[in-house]
Amino acid sequence: MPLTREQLLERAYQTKSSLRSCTLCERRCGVDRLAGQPAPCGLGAETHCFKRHLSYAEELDLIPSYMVYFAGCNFRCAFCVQAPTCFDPIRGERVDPEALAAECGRQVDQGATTINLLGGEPSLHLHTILELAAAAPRPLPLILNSNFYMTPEVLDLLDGAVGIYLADFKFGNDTCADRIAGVDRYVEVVTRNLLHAARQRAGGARLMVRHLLMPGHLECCFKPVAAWMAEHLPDVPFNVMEGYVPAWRAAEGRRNPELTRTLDAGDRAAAREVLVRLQVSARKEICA
Amino acid sequence: MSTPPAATARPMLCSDAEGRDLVITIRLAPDGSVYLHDIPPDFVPIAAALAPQDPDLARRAAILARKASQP
Repeated sequence: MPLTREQLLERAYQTKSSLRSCTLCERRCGVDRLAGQPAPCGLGAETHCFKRHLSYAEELDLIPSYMVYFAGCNFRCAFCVQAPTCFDPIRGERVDPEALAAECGRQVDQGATTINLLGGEPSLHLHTILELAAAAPRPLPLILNSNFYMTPEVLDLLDGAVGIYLADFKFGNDTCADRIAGVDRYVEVVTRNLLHAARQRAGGARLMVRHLLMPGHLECCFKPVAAWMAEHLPDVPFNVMEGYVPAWRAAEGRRNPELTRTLDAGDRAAAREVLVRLQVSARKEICA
Repeated sequence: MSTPPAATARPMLCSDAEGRDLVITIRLAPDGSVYLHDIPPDFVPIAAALAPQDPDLARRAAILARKASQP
């Protein structure tokens, strides 16, 4: 059920108050973002947008999608194609939810099918997302394009505010997640959240899951992720992305030498074999 | 990790609402496949021309054409 403007504003107020001791993500750092204390993500209470444009690179049923990139992230993925820009919490223009809602409404009027909130990590801007939804004169087709490392309370507050969760399931084990992205308890948190979001489908939200194939991580990351999806969320769209490029620190190869190359035909064929064996109807698309 | 937020924004945008200054990444693989990061509408026909055998890009071009024909 879509929320009313009053419900959205109430949730936004509640979220903003909670920034006094932030637990929006599973780092649960407890930092006072309203006072500008240094947090692992560097974010205060304001939201900045460093990039936005209409895209035809997303999943086919989501395009054209208006991409809105919020600054600041709680991950440090070595291969991030938005890095280091996206890590700067005040990069770009400060977001005024009323103005952004009007802009998103115009994009929808001009043909955008979806409004894709990404980053950085958009769930760290939950209060802004709720204010954005509240400010729209009619419901916006919002997508939360996220690393899914949020606390369950964030998903509860988003229930009814966004129409689609576009979740990254990046790593198949905690060792790779820590070494490549600097996060702990990765598998436990993301799988819990995926199941949580899937249960919200009764409320109208759709869940879609992405996995970016990484060179050298077929066995340790791709296979466990695909197997988990096949076992636990067989009906959820699962998009295996094959467009890996060694961006940012991955190109240097110091900590993760296997990430310096692109995928080869053998990698892609092996991944497709796994999907066939698991009977996962993954889609190969070019979005990245 | 990043520094805490300051009072003023760093106003450098990677693209504005119209997609101006957007950087597009194109990777041509040895096997002839094409990978793109960020495809604004203007670039869809170019991307499809780069990989005319790619059915996925053809579908995107078709969606763009359908959108363009709508009033």
